[in-house]
Amino acid sequence: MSLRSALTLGLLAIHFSHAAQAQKEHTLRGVDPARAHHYQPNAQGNFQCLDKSLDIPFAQVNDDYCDCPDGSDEPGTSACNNATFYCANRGHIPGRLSSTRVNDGVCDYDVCCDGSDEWESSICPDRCAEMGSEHRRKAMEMERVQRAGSQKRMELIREAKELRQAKTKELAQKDSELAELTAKVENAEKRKLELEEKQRVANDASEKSHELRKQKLQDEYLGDMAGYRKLLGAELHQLRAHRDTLVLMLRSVRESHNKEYNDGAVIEALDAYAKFVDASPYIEQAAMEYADEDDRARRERQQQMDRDNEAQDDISVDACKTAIEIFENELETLNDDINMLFGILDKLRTGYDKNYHDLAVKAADVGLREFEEARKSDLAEIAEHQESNKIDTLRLRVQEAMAKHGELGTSNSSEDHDENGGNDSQLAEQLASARTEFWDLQSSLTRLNNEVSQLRELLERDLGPDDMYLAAKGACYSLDAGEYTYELCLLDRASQISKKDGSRQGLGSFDGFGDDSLDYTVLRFAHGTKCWNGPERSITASFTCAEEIKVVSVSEPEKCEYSAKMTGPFACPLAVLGEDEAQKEHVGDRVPVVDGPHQHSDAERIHDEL
Amino acid sequence: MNLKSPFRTRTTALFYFAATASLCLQGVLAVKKEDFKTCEQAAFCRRHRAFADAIVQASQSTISKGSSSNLAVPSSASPYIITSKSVHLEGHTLVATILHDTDKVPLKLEVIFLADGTVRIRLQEENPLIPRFDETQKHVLRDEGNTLEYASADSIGYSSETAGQSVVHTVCYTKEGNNFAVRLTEFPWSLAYMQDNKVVIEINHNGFFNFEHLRTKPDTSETNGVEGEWEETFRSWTDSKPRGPESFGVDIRFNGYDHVYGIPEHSASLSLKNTRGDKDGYGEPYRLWNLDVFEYELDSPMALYGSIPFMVAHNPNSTVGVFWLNAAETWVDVTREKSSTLSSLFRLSGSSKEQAVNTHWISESGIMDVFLMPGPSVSDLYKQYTALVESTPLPREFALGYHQCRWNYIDQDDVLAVSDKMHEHNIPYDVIWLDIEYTDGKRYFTWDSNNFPDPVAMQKQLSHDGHKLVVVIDPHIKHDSAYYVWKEGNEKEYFIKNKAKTDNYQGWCWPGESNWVDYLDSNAMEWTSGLYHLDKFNGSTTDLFVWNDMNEPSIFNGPEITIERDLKHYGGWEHRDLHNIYGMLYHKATYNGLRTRESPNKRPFVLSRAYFAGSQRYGAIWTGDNAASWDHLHASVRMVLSNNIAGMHFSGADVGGFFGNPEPELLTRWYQLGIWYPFFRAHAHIDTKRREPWVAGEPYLSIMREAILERYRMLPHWYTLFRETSLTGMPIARPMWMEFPKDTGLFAEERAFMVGSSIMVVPSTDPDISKPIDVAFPSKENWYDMHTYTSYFAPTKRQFTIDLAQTLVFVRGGSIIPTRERQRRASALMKYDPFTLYVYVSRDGTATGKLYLDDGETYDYEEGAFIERELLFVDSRLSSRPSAHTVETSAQRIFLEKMKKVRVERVVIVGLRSPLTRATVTEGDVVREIELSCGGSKASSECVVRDPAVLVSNDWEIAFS
Repeated sequence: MSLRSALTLGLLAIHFSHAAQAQKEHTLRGVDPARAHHYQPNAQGNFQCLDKSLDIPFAQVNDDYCDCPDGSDEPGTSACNNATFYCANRGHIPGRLSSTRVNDGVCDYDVCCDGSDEWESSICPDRCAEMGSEHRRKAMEMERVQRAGSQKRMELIREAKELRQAKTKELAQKDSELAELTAKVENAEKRKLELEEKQRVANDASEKSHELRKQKLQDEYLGDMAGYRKLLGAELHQLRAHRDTLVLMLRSVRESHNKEYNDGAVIEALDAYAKFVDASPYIEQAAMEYADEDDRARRERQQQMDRDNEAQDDISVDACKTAIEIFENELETLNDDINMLFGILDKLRTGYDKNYHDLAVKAADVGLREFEEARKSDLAEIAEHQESNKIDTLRLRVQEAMAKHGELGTSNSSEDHDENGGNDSQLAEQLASARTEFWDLQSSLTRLNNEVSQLRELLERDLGPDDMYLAAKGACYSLDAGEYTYELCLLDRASQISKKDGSRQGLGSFDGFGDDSLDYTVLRFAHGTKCWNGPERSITASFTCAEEIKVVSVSEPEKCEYSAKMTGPFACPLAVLGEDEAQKEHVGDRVPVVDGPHQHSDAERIHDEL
Repeated sequence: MNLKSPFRTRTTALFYFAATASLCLQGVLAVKKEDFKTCEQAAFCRRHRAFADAIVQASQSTISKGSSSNLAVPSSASPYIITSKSVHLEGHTLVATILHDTDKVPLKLEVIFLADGTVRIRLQEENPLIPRFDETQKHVLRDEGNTLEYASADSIGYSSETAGQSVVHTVCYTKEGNNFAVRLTEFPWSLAYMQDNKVVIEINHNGFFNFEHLRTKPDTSETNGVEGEWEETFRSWTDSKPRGPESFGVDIRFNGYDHVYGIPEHSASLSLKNTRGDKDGYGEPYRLWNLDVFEYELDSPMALYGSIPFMVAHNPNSTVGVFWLNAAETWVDVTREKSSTLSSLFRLSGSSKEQAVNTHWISESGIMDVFLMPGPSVSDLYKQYTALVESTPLPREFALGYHQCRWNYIDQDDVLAVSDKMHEHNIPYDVIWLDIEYTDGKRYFTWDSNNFPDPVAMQKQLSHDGHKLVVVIDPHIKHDSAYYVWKEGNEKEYFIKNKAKTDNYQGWCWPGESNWVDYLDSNAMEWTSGLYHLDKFNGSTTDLFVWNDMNEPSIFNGPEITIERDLKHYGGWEHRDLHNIYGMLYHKATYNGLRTRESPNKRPFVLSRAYFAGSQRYGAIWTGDNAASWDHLHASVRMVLSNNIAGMHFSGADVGGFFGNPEPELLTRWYQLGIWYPFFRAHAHIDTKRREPWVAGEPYLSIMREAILERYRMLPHWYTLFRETSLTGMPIARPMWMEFPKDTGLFAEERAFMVGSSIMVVPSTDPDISKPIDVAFPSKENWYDMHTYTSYFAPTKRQFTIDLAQTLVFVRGGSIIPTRERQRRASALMKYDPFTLYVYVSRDGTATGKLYLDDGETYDYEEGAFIERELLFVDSRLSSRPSAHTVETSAQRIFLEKMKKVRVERVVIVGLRSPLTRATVTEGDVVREIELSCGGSKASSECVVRDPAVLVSNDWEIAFS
C-alpha cells in the first residue's frame, strides 16, 4: 500500500459515517479486491474505465447504467453485458460471475454461494458455510481419488518404462534375426535356382519324360498361372466385400425394421432374403464376423490370406490349377449372389412405403445408393488393375497350360515313368525340397518382417506422456448398456456388441488423442462400420481421473457418432499435489468464471496489465 | 476366411450387374405425388369442375348467338333459380328458396346481416333426407356462433324491383358511415355484395353454383359408382360413401381485384396464382385437406398440414375477405379476368369490364356457410374476421423466446448438457424440446425410464435457470391393453369407430397399431384434457408444455397418409365432415388441459402441426417438415405470411430446415430470418448432424448468437405486438401490401415483409453472398437501418451487398420501439430489467409507439394487471401516457407494486436533423435535467439520453431542446 493511499484511508476513517460506509459498499459491490484500488475517485473526482477509454463521474460507478465500453464501471449491477461480478463467498472460495447474471432472480450458488449476486431482492440466503464444507469434503474425496489415480498412473508409467526397454531389446534382437534370416532366404533361393537350372538342362536332355515335361510345363507356365490366380484373388476380395455389404444391409433391415407396419415390400424382401440365408447360412455368419472391420484391418487380413494362398497354391501347376478353378467357381457364385441380393434390395427400394418413416428401411435405401456408387468404382478399379496386369494374355496362357496339363494327365503312363532316369527323380525330389525350404523361409521372413515393423511402429507412436498408455494398450473394457455391450480396447479398437445375437458393429479403430493429440485424456476411434444412412461409426472416449479403468457410459448424440465417458488414471495429475494446490486445481474445474468468451479475454488482459 | 470355403456350382450364367447405374442418385428430396389426390381423382371435385366447364360452354354459345349478356352479368345457363315470391326479410335475415330446374329439391338460402357489415350466407337443403353436418360453426366461431352481433332491424332497408325478366331484391344498411348493400337477383340467381354502391364480391356470378342434395341410393346396379357418387377408390382404398353425393360448389368473384391471398396451408406463391388455363399458374386447384406430406414440394397448390378457408382480396382502394366455413375437403380454383381497357375508356355503363378474380369453391359435404367481409381497410377486415373466429390470445411470454428442438435429445444428461452449452456460449433460450423418443415405446404421457429416469429433476434444473420443457404428445394412442391411456380410452369408448360402427378404428403410426380419440365427443375432449393434469401425467411439472404433432391425423397406412373418410364419429357423423377441424380439436383439448392443470389458471403453450380457422386460440403452429435448402428458407417467408393473413399469427418454420444438413451459411441465414418469425424454433431430423449454434464454430457462432440476442432485445416489442394482435386480429408478420396498400408494386412481394407496422425485414436467402439484394423503400417516409442508423429517404430503391454478419432490417420513420438490452439466459429472467426506447423520427419530426407488459403467465391482465403505454414524440417532447385500455383495479395495483422499480434506462433518438443539447424530465411533480449526448457511435443523427430513470408505469415527459 502506498503512502498516499494509506493517507487517504486514514482521512476517510476520520469521516467515517454510516452513510459513507453504505456508499463504499455500494461502489465496491462486485469488485474484485485485487482491483479495489481502482474504485476510488481520482484527482478529478472521476472514475477511469479500466480500459482507460473514458473518465466518468465517480457517482456513475455501479449506478446501474453502463458507461464504460469494457463494463468496468458496473461490476455490481447487470447494466453492462460484459462486466464481471465478484462474490466474496466468505467460508468458501470467491467466485466470479458474468454480471448478466446479477439480479436476474436466479441464485447462482454454483458460483456465488453467498447469494450476493441477487443483492437487490435478497432472495438468496448465504449458503457458503454448508457449501464450503461440502465442497471441502468433496475436494478431499477428490483428492483421495486423485492421489490413488496418480499413483496408478505412476505405476503405469513405470511399467511402460520397463516395457519399452524390453520391447526395444526385442526389436534389436529381431533385427539381427532378420539379417540372419534374410541371408538364409538368399541362400535357399540360390540353391533353388541352381537346381531349377539343373533341371532345365536335364529336361532339355530328356524332353519326353513325363515328370520333366510336367516340370517344363511348370517352369514355363507357373509364373503366369500364379499371376492370374492373384488377379482372381483380388477380384474375389472385392466381390466378397460387396456381398457382405448387401447381406449386412438386408440383415439390418431384418433386425431393425418396424414389424408393426406390415409393409408388403419389406415382407417380400425379407422372405427372399430368408430363403437365401437358409440356402447358404455361412454367408451371413461370415459377413457378420468381419462386420466390425475397418478398411485397414480388412486389407491386412486379405494380404495375410493372399500370402498364405501363395505359399500353398503357387508351388505347382496342380495346386495352382485347382486354386484357379475354385476361384473362378466362387466368383461365379459371388456374382449370382450379388445380383440376387441387389435385386431384392432394388425391389424393396422401389416398393416400400416411404410414408411409414421406417428408418431401417430408409437406411437400406440410402445404403443401396451408396453401394451402387462404391461398386461401380470398385469394378472399374478391378478392371483397370486386371488390364494393366494383362489379364487377357494371362488367361490365354492359363488356358494353354490347362490344355497341356490335360494332355499330360492323359499320357501319364508307366511307360513314361520307366523312361525317367533315377537321376531325374532324385533331382526332382531335391528341387521340391529346395523349393519347400525356400517358401518356408520366405514366409518366416515375411512374418518376422511384420513383427519388426509392428514393434517399430509401437515404439515410434505417441503413447501419451511418459508412454502412459503403453502398458494398457490393447486392454479392453466393456459396459452393459441396454440392448448392447460396448467394448473399448485402449489405443486399439471399439465395438458395439448386440446382446440379442452377439453381432458386432465396429465403432472404429484408434485414430488419435483429443484436440489434435493435445488432450491425452480423450481417445478418438474412427472409421468403424459404415452406417447405411450416415457416416462411418466413430466413438470418442473421455477419461476423468480415477484409479480404476472403467467405461461409465456410452451415448449416441447423433447417428453413429458415439461418445463414451470413462474413468482411469490417465486423467489424473502426474504428481500427488499438496492439499492447497489440489484445492485450487479443483476449484478451477468446478467454479468457472461465467462470462462470455469474447469478454473473457478482455478481462484477462486487463487483469494482466494490473 | 478359409480359401477352400464351400462353394456351390451354379448353372446360371454370370450376370454382370446390369441396370444399376441409371438408378443412382435419385436421393434428392421429393414428395411422392402419386400418394395424394388430384382434383380429377376426387370425384366431387371432378364433377364440379365439369359442371363449371359446361356452364361456361353454354354461356359462350349464348353470347355467340348474339345475346347482349357477357360474363359481366350472371350466367343464364345456371339451372338454379330463386322461387318466385320466396324472398322475404326476417329481421336481420333475408330468406329465399332456390330450386334446381329439374330436380326441384328446395334449398334454403339465408343472407344474414351482421352489425359490422359482414354478410353471412347459409345455404342448405330445406328438408334433407337425413341431417347434413352443421357443427363446424360450433367449434370454429366465437362462442360457438351464439354471440354474433347482428344488424339491428331498423338499420336495414329492403326493396325489390323487377329488372327485365328477373326480380332484384336489395338490402341496404349503414354502419359507421359505411354503406353496405346486398343485391339478390332471382333469375339467374346471384348475390352481389356492394359497398358504397360498388359491387365488390359476387356469389354465383358465373353460375357455377351446384348443390348435390341427399338422395336414396338407386337400386339399379348400373348407376352404382357412376362418377364416384356412391363409392370411390383411390389406390388401394375404397371410400364407401354411404350417404352418396352431398357436395356443393359455387363461384365467388372479387370485382375490381387482381390479387387474392390466404387459404393456407400451401407452399404456393403469396399472391395466389391461377389454377386453370394459365401456363404460369398451377394445374390444380388449391386443396384444403389436412395432410402429412412427406418431403413436400415448394410452389405447389397441394394440401399440407393445415387448412384455413379464409381468402383476402386486395386492391389499392379496399381489402375484402371471404370465409368459407366448412371442415370437409375443399378445393378452390382461382382464375383472373383482365380489365378491358377499351370499355373502361369509354365508360360503357353496365358492360364495362373490370379486372376481377374468380374463385370457385368446392366442398365435399356439410352445408354452405360463407361470410363476406367488406373491409374496406385491412384493420377493418381483421376486426370483422376476428369478430367471427377470435384472435390470437396473449401467449405465455416465454413462448416468444428461442426454442431449441431436435429429434431427439437422447437423454436427461443430453438435455442438461445442451442447456449448459447454451449458457456457456451466452446464448439465451427459453425452451428445450423433446421429440417422440423420450417416451416409453411411443406411449405418450410416459417416459423412457432408461434415458429419462427422473424427468422432474430435469425440469427443476431447467426451471432453475428460467427455462421450460416442451414434450411431444401425439394423438395416436398405442393399442396396448397394459397402457393406461389406451385402456381408459377403450373402456370409455372414446375412440373413433370403424365404418360399420362395430369396433374401434385402427391404424398405424409411430407406436404401430394405434387408436385415435374422437374429439367430437365432448366427454372424450374433457378426458383428453385431464390426461395433462399433474396427477395424471407422471413426470410432468407446471414448467412442461406440449407439442401436438401428427394430428392431421397422420396415419401411415391410411389413404393419403391420413384417416379414412367413412369412419364414424360421435353422433354418427362421418370423418369426411370434420376432417379439417380434427387437429384443432385435439389442439384445443391439450390447451384446456394445460390451462386447467393449476389454479389459478395459467396461459398454456401448445404447438400444433394441423390447424384450421380458430386454431390461433390454442397456440402456435409451424410449417411442418421443411428441408435444409435455400429454397425452403425462401419459401418459409411466404408460408408464414399466408398463415398470418389467415389469422394464424403465431407461426414459424423450422430454423435450419428439418430434413438434411444445412451448411453453416444457410443455418446462419436461417437464424437471421428465424428471429423475425412470430414463432422461433430450431429443429432437426434424427438423421441429421447436431447443429446447435456452437457446432459450426466461428464466425457462425457469433453471428447466430447476435441474431438470437436481437430477438431477446426485441422481446418487449414482440410482446407488445402480440398484445395488439390479441385486440385487433391484425397479422404480426405482414406482407408489404398490408402496410402500403396503395403501392401496387408491392402486392406480389414475398421476400421483404413487415413485422408489425414498424420493421421491414429483407431476408438474405441466396447462397451467393455477392449477389446484390434489391430493397424497395415504400411511402414518403424515412427508413433507418436498424443496425447502423443509416437513413433512406423513401420512396426509393437500393441494392445491398452484405456479408454473412449483416442483415437487412429497417425501421420505418415515426416508430418508437421498446427493447430490453440486458443479456439474460431466458426471457423469464428479464422480468424486472429496465427498458431502452428507440425513437426513429419521421420526416415531420414525430414518432409514436407502444409498450405493453404484464406478468407474462397468468390471466390477471384480464383484470387490468398490466402496464400499457402510449409513447409519443412530438414537438421535441417524448411522453408516456396510459393507453385507453388501462383501468385501475386491485389486480392492477398488485402488478404495479411488483413493477415499481422498473424504469426506462435509456432513450435513443435516431434521425434528428439538428443535435439536441438539453433534456428535461418531468415525472409527477419532479422536474430534472438529465445527461444527453448526440452524434453517437453509429450516426450523427443519434442522440442518447443517459438514464432518464423514469418509471415504466408512470406518466412522464422528456422535453428536448
